[in-house]
Amino acid sequence: MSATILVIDDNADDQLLYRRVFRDSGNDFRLEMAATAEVGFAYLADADSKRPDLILLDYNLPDMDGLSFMQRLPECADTSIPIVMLTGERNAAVAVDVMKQGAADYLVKDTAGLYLRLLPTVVERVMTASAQREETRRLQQETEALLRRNRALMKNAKDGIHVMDVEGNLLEANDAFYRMLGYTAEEALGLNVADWNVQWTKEELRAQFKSMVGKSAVFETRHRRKDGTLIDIEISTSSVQIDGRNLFFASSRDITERKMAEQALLKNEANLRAILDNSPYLTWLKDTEGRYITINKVFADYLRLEDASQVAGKTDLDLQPQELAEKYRADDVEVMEARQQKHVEESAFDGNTVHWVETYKTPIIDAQGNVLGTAGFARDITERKMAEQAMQQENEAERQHAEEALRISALRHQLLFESSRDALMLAAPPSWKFTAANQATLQLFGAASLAEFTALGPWDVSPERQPDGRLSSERAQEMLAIAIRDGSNSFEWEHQRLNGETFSADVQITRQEVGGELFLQATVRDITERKQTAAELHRLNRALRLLSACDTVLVHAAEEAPLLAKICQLVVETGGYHMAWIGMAEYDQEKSVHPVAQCGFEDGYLNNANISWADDTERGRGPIGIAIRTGATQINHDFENNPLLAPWREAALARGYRSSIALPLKIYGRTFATLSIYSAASDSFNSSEVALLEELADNMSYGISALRLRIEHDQAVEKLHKSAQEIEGLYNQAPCGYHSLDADGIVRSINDTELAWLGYTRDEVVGKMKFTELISPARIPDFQRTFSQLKQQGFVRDIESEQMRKDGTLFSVLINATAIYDADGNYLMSRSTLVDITKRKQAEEKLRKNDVRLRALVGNLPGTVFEMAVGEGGEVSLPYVSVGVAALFGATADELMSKPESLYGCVDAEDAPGFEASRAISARTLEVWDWEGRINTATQHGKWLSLRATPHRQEDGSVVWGGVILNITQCKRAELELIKSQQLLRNLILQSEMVRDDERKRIARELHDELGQLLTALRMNISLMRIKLGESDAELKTIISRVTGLLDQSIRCTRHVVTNLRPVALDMGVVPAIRWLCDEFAEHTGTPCVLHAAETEVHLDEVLEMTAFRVVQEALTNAARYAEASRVEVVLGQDAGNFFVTVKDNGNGFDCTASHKPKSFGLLGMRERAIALGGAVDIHSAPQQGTQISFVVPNNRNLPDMKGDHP
Amino acid sequence: MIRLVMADDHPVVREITGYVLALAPDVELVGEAVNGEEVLNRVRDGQFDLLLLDMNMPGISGVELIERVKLCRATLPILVYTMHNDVQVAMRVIKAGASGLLTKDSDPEQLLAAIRKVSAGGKYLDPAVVEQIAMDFESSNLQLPQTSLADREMEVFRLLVEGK
Repeated sequence: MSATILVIDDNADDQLLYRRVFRDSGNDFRLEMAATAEVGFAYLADADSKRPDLILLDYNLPDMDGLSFMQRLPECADTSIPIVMLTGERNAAVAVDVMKQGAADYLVKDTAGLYLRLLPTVVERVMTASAQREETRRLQQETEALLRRNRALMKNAKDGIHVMDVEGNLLEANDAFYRMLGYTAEEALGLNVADWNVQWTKEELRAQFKSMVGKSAVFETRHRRKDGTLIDIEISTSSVQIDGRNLFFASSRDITERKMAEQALLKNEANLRAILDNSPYLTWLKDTEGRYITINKVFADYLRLEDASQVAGKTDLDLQPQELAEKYRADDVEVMEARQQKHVEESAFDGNTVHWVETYKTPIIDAQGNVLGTAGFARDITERKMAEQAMQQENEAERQHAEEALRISALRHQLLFESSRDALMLAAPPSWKFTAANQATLQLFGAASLAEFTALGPWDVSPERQPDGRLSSERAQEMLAIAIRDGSNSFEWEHQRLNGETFSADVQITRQEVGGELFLQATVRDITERKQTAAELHRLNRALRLLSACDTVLVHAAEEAPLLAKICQLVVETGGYHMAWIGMAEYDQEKSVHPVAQCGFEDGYLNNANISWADDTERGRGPIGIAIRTGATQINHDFENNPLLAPWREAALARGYRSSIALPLKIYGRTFATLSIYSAASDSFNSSEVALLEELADNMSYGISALRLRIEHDQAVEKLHKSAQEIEGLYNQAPCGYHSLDADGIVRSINDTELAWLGYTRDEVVGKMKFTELISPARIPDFQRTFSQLKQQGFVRDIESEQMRKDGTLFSVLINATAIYDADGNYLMSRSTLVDITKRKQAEEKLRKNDVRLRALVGNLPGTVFEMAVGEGGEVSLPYVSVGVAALFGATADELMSKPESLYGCVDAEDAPGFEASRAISARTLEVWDWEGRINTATQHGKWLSLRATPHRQEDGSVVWGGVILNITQCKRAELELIKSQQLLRNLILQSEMVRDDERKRIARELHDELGQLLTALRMNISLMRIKLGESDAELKTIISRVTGLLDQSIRCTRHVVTNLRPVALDMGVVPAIRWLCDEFAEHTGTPCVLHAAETEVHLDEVLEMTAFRVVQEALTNAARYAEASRVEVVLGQDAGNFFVTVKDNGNGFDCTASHKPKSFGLLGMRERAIALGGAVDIHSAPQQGTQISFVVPNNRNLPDMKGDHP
Repeated sequence: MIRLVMADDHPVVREITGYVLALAPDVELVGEAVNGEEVLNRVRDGQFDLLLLDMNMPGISGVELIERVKLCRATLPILVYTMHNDVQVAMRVIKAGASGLLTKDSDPEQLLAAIRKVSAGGKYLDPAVVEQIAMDFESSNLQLPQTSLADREMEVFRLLVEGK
């Protein structure tokens, strides 16, 4: 191997050694020596020096160590140069670092020098490896470049390039492929060919792929895009083996469009063929050589060929006789050369007969302008041709026929010309002198002969100027020119006869052309007379038109003033007069004629005219005045000459008035106005015109009077109409129903109210429905009866009936009706008034029901319902008493109601005052009258009644009570019994208490009197004993003392018992007794109990005393038990014959209402005791508000005797 | 010598009281009465200095009898000798005109002392009663403007307390 080695070692000896070693190795190694690292770097940096293939590096360099060298190397040299490091034995450890740094190998410079032997081998190895690496890298680069190119190609390729494996999985593809299928690269690369190919199944594809290994192919198939659309694809694929793997490289092109175009083309072909085959024309295509390309079916049939394709490639020479074929060829060539269509009619011979054929040939030129061939269409026109020939012959015959007719006509014409009475002449250009004239013409113009006439032209027989002022010659030329241009001309012309006389004429010129020669034919008619008549007629016409117009205006006139103005206007405009005015004959002092309408050129004439109809003034004696006075039309033929018009002559003439007429307008024979008309010409008014104008005036008169009447009439009608409307309104809006029936009972008229009730429209009812259809079927017989009654007697009153609405519901009505008769007394119409009484009926029904209900209630009452009235004067009446009163009072309702005082009489004498008193109070206060009392009847005595009634004060001041009286005897008796038994009970209680008290008193007394006394006596005896014996004997003294003590105890005990049974204080009187109670209370409870007694000596009945004592005792006991009071007060005294004592504490109090508890028998007892004595106990208490118990009794001896023995 | 008339309807009481009176040399029992009428007869007859009176006797008795006696002989001292030790009774009898009250369960010495006091013209109230009055007075009404005693009674009480 040859290579360049850079040796960097500072040891010169080593350098020599290296040289020798390498030389001996047999390799062609060039060694470059460097003694220092710097030199080495310089070498490497030097562009001229050869790049070393290897660096042999001594670690210990003078300027740096090997590691540093390696680290610095990248700065100046190619790092791919392999480095072999030589390390000293001493720093063998550095070898590891060196290798890490990237040295290719290292050798330890052993002292023996063995490393030298290894050196070449190592170097060789390193370099080989380096070379190999180099090679590999180069190859890699190349490959990469190739790949990049490849990728670029793929990317930019228009076709979809894709790579698949033998299974059909997509390995790689270019963008075009992805786009074609509509996938993204990520989505596509997972797919299999079966995913996008629709032509074959997966199995088929796999088989195909297998079969295509090692082969190439081009084919068309169909793919499915991601969105599901199908595209036609042309694929060219080739099989490639890479790394032992069979791959398919495919390029696919979307040929969908192409395919569609192909199909369209095919379709077009088919269409075309269809058209061609159905065409009646023989159709063919030939190329430039005249060879048939294709023919249509018709042509094929004509040539008697089975199949159109048989003709392809043949020329006419093959198919037609030579002459014809050559001709056809010539035509084809002509067409192709000329690039123009040719149309020919030619005959063809098909072997049997001659055919006429019509042929169109056209060149076929492509888009570039090249002639491709010819196309032809032919049709057999034999029949047509023959028909044409036949027609030609016919035409010829006709022509001859026409010529003959013409000749005859000319002759006839000549005859007419001569014999016509109209002046006919002919004139010829250029001079237009007359060339011919008939007899009539000569006569008309006064020409002696034809020769005389034919020397003249049209202007020779005309005056110099026409009426319009123009030169005749000029105008004549014009007329002639028009005639020539338009063919004829008709106009009026002023002609002149040869004797100089002029006359008006109608001229008609007609252009004639005979035999190519132009001339004019003229017809002239003398219209002088006609003109005159026409003028007159015109005037009359105008008058007539005026009349007609005025009549129209009169007919339609609504108001007088506009009418008059319109008339004047019409007179002037339609009548063509100069001025017209209407003047009213006034009845003022001057009898002036007052202009109310005018038209035409007046110019202030009327202001100054001052026309009057008074016959004593000049101004009144003009035609207008006379007309008014006489009522006859006055005609003024000429302002200039007529003396009557003197006052106005100047003014009239100045305004151009030459003649005038005054037409009187009359109503009921009296002239009220005149219509005056002025003409610019004198003698204007001829008789016929006057007649018309008079008619106009009459019509005007009539019209005006009619108008006036109509206006009056209209106003009257308007008034009538209004009142009719009012009446109709009243009729329709009335709060009741109105209708009229004819003799058959059909409704003739009906007002809105009734219609609304019934729910019909007017159209449904009037003239159509019978009244019977509008009433409840049940009422029809009643109606029939009532209706005939109405017709007979002329009226019916207050008939109740029921109408039936459209929906079938009924409502009640009250009917009043009158009949209308005609002059002969026949029934014409009814006039009926209906009132809806439904509500009333309903109220009545309700009332009736209520009444029934009341009766039922009342009937079942165990008492009586009554109504009693007491007047201000005290008069008693009983408007109503129910039947039950009989049971109560023993008198019937009627009897009582007729004699109300008997009610009072029944009341028991004892209760009567209370009865009257309570009634009086009720009457005064208008509060409920509540009374209980007894009545005595014949059968019963002492019947208890309860009366309860509500008073109402009436307008007349009396008071009416309405209420109930019930028999409460039973109740009352029971009540009284109860009270009695209660009283009995009370007394019993009291009695028992008294008894108990007495007993206690007795016991106490006995105890006190007997036992007490004995005990005290005993004590005294013992005391005596003490005195007698006990002073000396101490022991005895003790015993005696003890005994005395026992006796004291016994006495105390006895006292205690007695006190409890009957405190002695009671014997002292009620005040000491109560004081004692207070003291005892205070002592036991520790609560102060204060007694307020007005006097200390109160004398009471013993029972009263006892009761009072017990009450206070009870009260104090309760207070001690429950009140927890801090202070108790007892007040007693006498007041107005009553004794009272009150116990008050400021303690807990209690709820007085809840005093039904067993422990409050005490309170109950107190109450009862008090009641029994005719007194009362009041308890006032509320929780936390203390208690006050007060006891009051009358201090009299008015008591039932219940005392026991008083010991 | 105090001449005494004893009025009591109970024989046992009369007997023992006689024995007690016999002990006192200055007291001589000159008469007895067993009912109100007899008392009045005795009083009318006179000839004695002191009436020892029981309250509960048949006929006129108690306060009424005292008043009747006082009407007859206003100066006659009456010493009520009774079972009752009530304050009210004491008050009533004093008010009625008795000079004193003594309960029967007293010692003989007390009886003799009372007799002597009363006959000398003084007033005597059984100590137990006085004590009771004092207690009553103490326990109630000390701060109240009104008293449980009528004015007149109040006056009497004061006099008694003062020993008059």
